[in-house]
Amino acid sequence: METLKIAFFCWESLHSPFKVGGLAPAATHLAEHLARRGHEVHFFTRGEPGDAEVNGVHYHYCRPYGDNIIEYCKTMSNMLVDAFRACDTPAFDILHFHDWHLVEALHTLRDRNTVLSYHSTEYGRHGGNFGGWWEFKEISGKEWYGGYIAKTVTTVSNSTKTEVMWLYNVPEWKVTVIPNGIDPDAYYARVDPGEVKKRYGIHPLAPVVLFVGRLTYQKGPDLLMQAIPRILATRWDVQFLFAGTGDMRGYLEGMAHGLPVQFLGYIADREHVQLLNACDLIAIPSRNEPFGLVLTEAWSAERCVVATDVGGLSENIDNYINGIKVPVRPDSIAWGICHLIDDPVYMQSLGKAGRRKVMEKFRWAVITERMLSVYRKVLSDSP
Amino acid sequence: MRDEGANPPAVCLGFDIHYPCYLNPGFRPDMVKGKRNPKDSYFNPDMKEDLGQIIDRSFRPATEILLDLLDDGFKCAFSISGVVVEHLERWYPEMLELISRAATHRNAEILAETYYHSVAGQFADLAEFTDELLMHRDLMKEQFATVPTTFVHTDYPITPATADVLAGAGIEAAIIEGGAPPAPEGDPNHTYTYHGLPVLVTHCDLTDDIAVRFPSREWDRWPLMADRYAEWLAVSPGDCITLFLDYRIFGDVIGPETGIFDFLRALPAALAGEGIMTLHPSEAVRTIPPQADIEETGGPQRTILQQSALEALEEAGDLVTDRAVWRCLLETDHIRRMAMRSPSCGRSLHAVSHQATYDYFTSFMQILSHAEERSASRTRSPKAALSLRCIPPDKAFSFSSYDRPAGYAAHSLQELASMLDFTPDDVIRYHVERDDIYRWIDQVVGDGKLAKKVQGISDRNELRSTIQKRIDELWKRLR
Repeated sequence: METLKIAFFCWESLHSPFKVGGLAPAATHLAEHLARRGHEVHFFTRGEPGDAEVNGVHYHYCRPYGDNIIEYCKTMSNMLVDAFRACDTPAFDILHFHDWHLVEALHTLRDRNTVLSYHSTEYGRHGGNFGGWWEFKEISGKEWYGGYIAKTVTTVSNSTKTEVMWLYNVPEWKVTVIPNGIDPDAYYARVDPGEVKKRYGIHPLAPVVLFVGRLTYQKGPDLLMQAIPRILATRWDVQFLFAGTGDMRGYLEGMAHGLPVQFLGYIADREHVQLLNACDLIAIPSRNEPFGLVLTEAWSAERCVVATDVGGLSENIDNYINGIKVPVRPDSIAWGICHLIDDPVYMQSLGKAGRRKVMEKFRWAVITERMLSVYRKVLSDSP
Repeated sequence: MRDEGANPPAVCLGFDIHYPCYLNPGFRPDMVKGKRNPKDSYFNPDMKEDLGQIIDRSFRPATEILLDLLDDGFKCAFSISGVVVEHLERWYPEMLELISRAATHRNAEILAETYYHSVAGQFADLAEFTDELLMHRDLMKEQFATVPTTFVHTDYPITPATADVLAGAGIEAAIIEGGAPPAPEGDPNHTYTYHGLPVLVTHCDLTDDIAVRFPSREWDRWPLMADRYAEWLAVSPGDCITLFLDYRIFGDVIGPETGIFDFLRALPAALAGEGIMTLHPSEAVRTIPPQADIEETGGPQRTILQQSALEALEEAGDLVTDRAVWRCLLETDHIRRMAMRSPSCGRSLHAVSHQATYDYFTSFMQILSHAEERSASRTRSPKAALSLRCIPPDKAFSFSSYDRPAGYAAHSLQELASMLDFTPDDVIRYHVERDDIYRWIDQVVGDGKLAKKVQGISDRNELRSTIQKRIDELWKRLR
């Protein structure tokens, strides 16, 4: 197969000082896996102005400015289009845009072979609610326009696909579902769970439920917090760890008074992997989840999950085979956790089944191949 | 599913004949007052009658059926604990006679196990495990004139250390439990080696089709017939399927009205109909080459209560002077009941609430603590023995911070010292400020000397080393 020259447009990457959420690893790893297959990948993003090459990917950085997020993204688009033009000979085959931030660049370059990936929607980021403020409308408008002009669109799950079809009238033929990939071995580590638990002042044999994610309304940490007293009523040695930070932290800390809960704040990758492999169960109480990277991370570490029956979680979890899906309600989350936590052997078997699913469906090798077939389709459709 | 035309796997069928010392759940220390032998208050006082019922419902009819089957060439294995032989010899000699006929049959194999069906294999010091293994061997030799060479290691996970002891004691193979580490995942139907010892792995799903699901009408395969079951075995992949069942499943756990005896009676013919051979475990490891070496994967999964009980039990070996009482407390069934779920794998289903496990743990620790207190006066240093004894949960040292309990408690000085290793700083500060550690050691443990020493110490390491030093000193006085 001939090699492609691919441009990535994404406002964050793992190799720049700006990291917000799961977008950076998703886009960076995809770029690196494409480069590893011999394609020429240029990554246009924010950072110290200049160029760099990391893991075979060419990075082109800019430093945008603006009084608000919309302005900021507009200047970023203009700067990155300039950077793009500077290396457009020979011409790029594919222009791959991630999320709404660079829709202005997409507009300028709309005649080329463009792909737009929705990692989430503005509606979803607010837990499945519409906002009345101007940024919400502006961003939703950009998401609609991006889907309208892009040659093809990908989403990370079927539920996001339905969401963009419903919200932005994107026709179905234009949308391909391509989940986020993962490198399973990066999240699997042989640790002594007891030793890790001890570091947090937890009895080495106490069952530990882990929450990983931003402490925001979308991720539902408050639902898990409300479930805790119900869990403790039947099993009183369970401990809860919340890793991550966000605007709900103060509120949650108030709720956690007197409960066996610890807030770890932002945790480094190494600690994250150790916690994943040391905990007994991972709770994912999201109200809306386009994909749910936490899920594939948990599975990579052979952990079982109790997750809400929404979005990507709902699609990817096979109930009672590699996890348990529950309605978005504290009492249901409590039920799910109680159902599993007493039975370590059952939990292990669910976790191992999850790992098998990751190896089969979510490894980067599989995902990259699927993305390439989308690129080839765009190329074959172009006149 | 196996390939067309391949030979069906062989089957190793084993039965565990045992009757545990059940605890007396209503035990209170004042019940022992004025009694010469506290054992009757510690353990189920109606043991003889209960065992009699089990014999009538299960042991006798099952053994009579098996005797007929053995005569027809069916092969199976028996693991008979020392405790049950003792009980039968004392109360029901005619039953022992019947079991003896089955066990010494030319088509039966006698398996080795620990004399008291005990958890001693989980201790750091394997002296008791070795003793029980040899005691059991001697008993088998005396009763049945056989020296068993295959050990049943199913009630608790095999470890490298127990494997070494077994190999050293002339054991040639072991049966281990599938479904949980270190058993290999997914594929139990082969022979393996574990640290050089050949092992067979029980097939939990197929075993539990009989032991758990057989009587359940909600099961979509109900009613299970022997020929259907034989078909399942015949299409299973692998060389050899190991099934190891609690003998009481037949007739006692699963009543005769369910047809369990008819199932057992029809099984050999059904197996033969599918071309399945029955083998002795020792034959299986001799004839089938091992598939792989089992790798060590992590430690055993225990609950906090099981851990506390096991630690207390191991120390009690030097504190309880009445060996018979201590050895009854080693029974695997006690530890099994301290978990909410235990893999059934041939035993009756065990699924209880956290409260039930806690209640069982409480009775267990009360009895153990009481036995230690009673024994203290007979040791070299009664005061040291009292300080080292375990404390029942109602008087244990429960760790807590200002706003919440930490979720664990210390049931002895030793456990207190170990827990200080990971207890969070705010918890230690809270207890030091309230002088809790001093008061507990002084008033509950009753070691005034140590209490004075720890008073006012707020540093975790200093606290630990002070207590540990005292513990070492007390042990020295005792031994």
